[in-house]
Amino acid sequence: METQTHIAQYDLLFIFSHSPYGSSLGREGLEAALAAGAFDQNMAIIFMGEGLWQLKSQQDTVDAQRKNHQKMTSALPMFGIDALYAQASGLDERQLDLSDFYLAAKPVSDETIGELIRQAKQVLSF
Amino acid sequence: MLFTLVIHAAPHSLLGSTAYNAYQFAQCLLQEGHRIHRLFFYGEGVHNLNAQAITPQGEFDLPAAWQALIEQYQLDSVVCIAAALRRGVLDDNEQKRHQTPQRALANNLLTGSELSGLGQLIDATAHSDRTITFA
Repeated sequence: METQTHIAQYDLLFIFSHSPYGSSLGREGLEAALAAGAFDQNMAIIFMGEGLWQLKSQQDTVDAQRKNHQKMTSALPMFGIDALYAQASGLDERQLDLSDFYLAAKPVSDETIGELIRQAKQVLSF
Repeated sequence: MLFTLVIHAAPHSLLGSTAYNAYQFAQCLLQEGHRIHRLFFYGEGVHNLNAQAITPQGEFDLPAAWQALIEQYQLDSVVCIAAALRRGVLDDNEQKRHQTPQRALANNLLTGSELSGLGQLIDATAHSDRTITFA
């Protein structure tokens, strides 16, 4: 369970709330986040709602005839992007578990997400 | 206050008229004396600056309106190059680079805006008081 008492403050907070392949927002959000990482920003990403599927391991896009961007997502830590948050209520709704993910994310309550957004200097939403 | 607007929405979208809202918001900011650090067109938003979109008579011509606003206030207007190329919005350089004898391409980015990378988006967020996304 969440034991966070201090809410981190980020200069740039990304919110991913769309599924990875359901629209172009999945890929284009990732590309923007990687660009921010390359520019060494004090940043974090919140995966919420359908955006949680971005973190799901074993994405297979062969039948969907789409380019798989799981590799791109797994590059996030290499770009210095370690602050990854997962919406706890969204995990429950989708019967997802942190062990389904291929990157370590910290589960957070909706209340904490609200606080992260309030504290962030800038928010980019995809 | 210094603003950056990120525009994901296209004109004539089936999903709503968010691109028009972005334009009206920009217009309103400038009329109220705020400043715009940068307009950043991303995703479907690149269609806002497609010179080849012909608006029927009597309809609001959003690409022309953006171009006029950008010129009037000398706004820094950047279109994500990767998003633009995917969607067929090219400047002179890219048109020449990708043109082949089998494939005629148009140089169709409206003047007053430039194609550039995502670094311009990150830079804009770092230098603005507020970043507003229109998706």
